[in-house]
Amino acid sequence: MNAVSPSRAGWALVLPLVAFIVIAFLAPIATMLLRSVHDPEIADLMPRTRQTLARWDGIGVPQMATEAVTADLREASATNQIGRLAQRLNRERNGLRVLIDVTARHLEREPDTKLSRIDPGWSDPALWQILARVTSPWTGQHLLNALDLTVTPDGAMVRQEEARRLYVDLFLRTAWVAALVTLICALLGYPYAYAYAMAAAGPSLRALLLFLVLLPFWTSLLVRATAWIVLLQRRGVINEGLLAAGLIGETGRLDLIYNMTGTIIVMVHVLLPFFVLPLYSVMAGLPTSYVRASASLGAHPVRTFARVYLPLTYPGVAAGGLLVFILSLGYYVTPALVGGRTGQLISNQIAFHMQRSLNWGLAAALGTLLLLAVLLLALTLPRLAERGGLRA
Amino acid sequence: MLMKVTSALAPSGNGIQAEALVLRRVDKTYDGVSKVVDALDLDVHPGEFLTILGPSGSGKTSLLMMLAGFEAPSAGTIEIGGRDVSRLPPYKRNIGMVFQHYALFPHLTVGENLAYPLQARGWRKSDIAERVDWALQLIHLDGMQDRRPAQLSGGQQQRIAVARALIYRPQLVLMDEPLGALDKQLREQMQDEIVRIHRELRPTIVYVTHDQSEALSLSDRVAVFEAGRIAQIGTPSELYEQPGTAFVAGFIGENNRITGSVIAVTTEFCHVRCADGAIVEARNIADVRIGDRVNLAVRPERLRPTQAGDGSSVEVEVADITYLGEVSRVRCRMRDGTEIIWKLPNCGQSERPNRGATIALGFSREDARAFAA
Ligand SMILES: Nc1ncnc2c1ncn2[C@@H]1O[C@H](COP(=O)(O)OP(=O)(O)OP(=O)(O)O)[C@@H](O)[C@H]1O
Ligand SMILES: [Mg+2]
Repeated sequence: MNAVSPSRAGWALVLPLVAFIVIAFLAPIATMLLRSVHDPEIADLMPRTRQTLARWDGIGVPQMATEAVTADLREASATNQIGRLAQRLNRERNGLRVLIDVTARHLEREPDTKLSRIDPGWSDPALWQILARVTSPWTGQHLLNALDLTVTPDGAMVRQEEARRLYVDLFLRTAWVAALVTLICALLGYPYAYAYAMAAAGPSLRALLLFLVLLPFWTSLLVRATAWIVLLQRRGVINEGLLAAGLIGETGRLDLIYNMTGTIIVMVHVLLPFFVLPLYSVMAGLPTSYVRASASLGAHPVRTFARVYLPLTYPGVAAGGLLVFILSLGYYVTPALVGGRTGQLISNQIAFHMQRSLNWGLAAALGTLLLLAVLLLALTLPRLAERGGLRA
Repeated sequence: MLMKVTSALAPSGNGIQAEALVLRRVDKTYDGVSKVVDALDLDVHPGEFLTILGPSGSGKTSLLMMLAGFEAPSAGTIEIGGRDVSRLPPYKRNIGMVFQHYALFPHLTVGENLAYPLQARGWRKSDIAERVDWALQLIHLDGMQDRRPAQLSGGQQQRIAVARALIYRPQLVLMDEPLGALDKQLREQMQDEIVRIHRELRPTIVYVTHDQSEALSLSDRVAVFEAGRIAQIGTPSELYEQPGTAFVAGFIGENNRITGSVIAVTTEFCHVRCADGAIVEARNIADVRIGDRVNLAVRPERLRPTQAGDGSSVEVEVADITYLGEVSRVRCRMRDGTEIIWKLPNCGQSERPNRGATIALGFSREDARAFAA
């Protein structure tokens, strides 16, 4: 007999999965969390400025740093990094791109000109404060941006100017859409699961109901989105049908897709099984004796449903609802395909910053906030439900 | 309108109170072929404790489900308190029901569970509170109303379930193996409790069990079920002393079964030649004729040692003896191999036979009953 201790064997068995989770899941998330507060891009491009400004007391214009800036800009031009640096600094304040470009070009021609001669902008203490902030590799800037906040030159935290506020609204809109999708799923899914759980439904109807729930799982997301486009577009099946039935006129065609309506319709369709299946498993596990006891005690079926059946199936509603809500918060594909311009959610904005604007720090900050929100929900909601006496 | 008048008059109609429960030719079939309940007639008197006793699958639960209204009878009528309820949904029948696994609502407290049927009947809050207190006192669980069922022991839960079924004083209380989930000691305790509550409140109870000792100790009358029919209905002692069929004789208590054929018949008795040749006398229950093959049923405790040839007796060899405390159980074999159990009271000086010894066991003709084989 080969003596392998059971716990050692247990570890060996879970090791592949643990390794996979660490590599494919924990490590990327940790990187993302880090990236939302750690941004060494500017610090790497301006190493001398960073060193000098780290010692600066933050008052006035630091004469000691002008040489460092000059040296850093000259090196950046030499290594063709000025474009990147200018674009990156412009994100901190509009107009900095021009300032950097102009200064760098001037320095190429006359390397020893004083900065304040090249452009009066260099005499502005606020500029130097920005530089001091962005040359530090640790930054709360992305998180602030993600919350539509900014720091004034004197260090106070205020809301962004009206036109630049974007993300808080988008977060709220995403939460609202998620709540709406969850509510619609509950309204459609509860009766559905109930019909399925009722023994009276008969075996053939049951098989059909289960098939209909599982069907979406067997069909590609893309195919389903396309099918919805065929149905919902302005010249789609539904509009043509309504037109033919005389319910709407040619000018009254409904905008059912490429907007928030489309996003919600298709998300409900995609997420409905996630509501129905946990609910159904709770319903199926509920002994019939509770409902029978209620009837035998003289309760009308409506009372039986409201006071006994519904409360006893709350855990299923909570599980399904939480699942749908959390999945909706991070939903990306469907809004991207059928959401048009107005039907976009926070994930689409994250994707935009990852793929187009290449502002990975902001994307990471938005992702971090989303992750925190989801974690908070996942941890508190089940407990709230339990405190409310909703355990079976 | 009219129905109300007749039902109000019915109980006092001709001076006799309506039966609590009347079944007339009730059939139940699930598959349209086999009858799970077969042309059943049954009358239960008000205040009576009637037990339905029968082997597994004999249709006891099916009967109860029809009484409660969860299953419709395939044919026949069911009347509760003089009112035809055959087509009435459960919640309109005004019955109480106790389930095997209690079926207390887990999300409600004990007090809320007890109040539930009263709320369903639209009682006022103050009346409900008063009645819940009364019910808790009845089952000696005062002060427990804020607990959840999960925080109670099995026996306490079952008492709550009984109280919940009784709290609105229904005409009829149905119990389907209510003690089936409890261990033996608790079961006996609960039996006493149910008997006490029945004495105090006198509800009509139809109680289903397949435990015969439970049936005998609890009931005013017992209906023995066999394949959807009532094999015999009567008081516990009637069933024990005077089983009407071989099935009942074998099902209630222990009975020896000796086969033989009839050689002489008088009005009440008959002479039977047993398979091993012995000739014994027995009560003629089933109207047997000379030459009929019969089964004799004799209780093990009614046997006594005797001399061979003295009255009704059979010769047996002692196979083994089990000491059980108040009695010894002696397993014997007749010459043709028929097994005979003899229960011998252990009262001090009585001497016990030796294993392997051949002895004669006698019985009086009143204690042997002959059924057609
Ligand atoms: N809903 C049903 N559908 C079809 N057949 C059923 C149904 N319920 C019971 N039966 C059948 O009816 C017969 C009687 O069942 P029932 O449950 O009434 O027996 P029981 O006397 O209560 O038995 P037990 O002591 O095991 O509880 C059984 O053969 C059973 O298979
Ligand atoms: Mg049963």
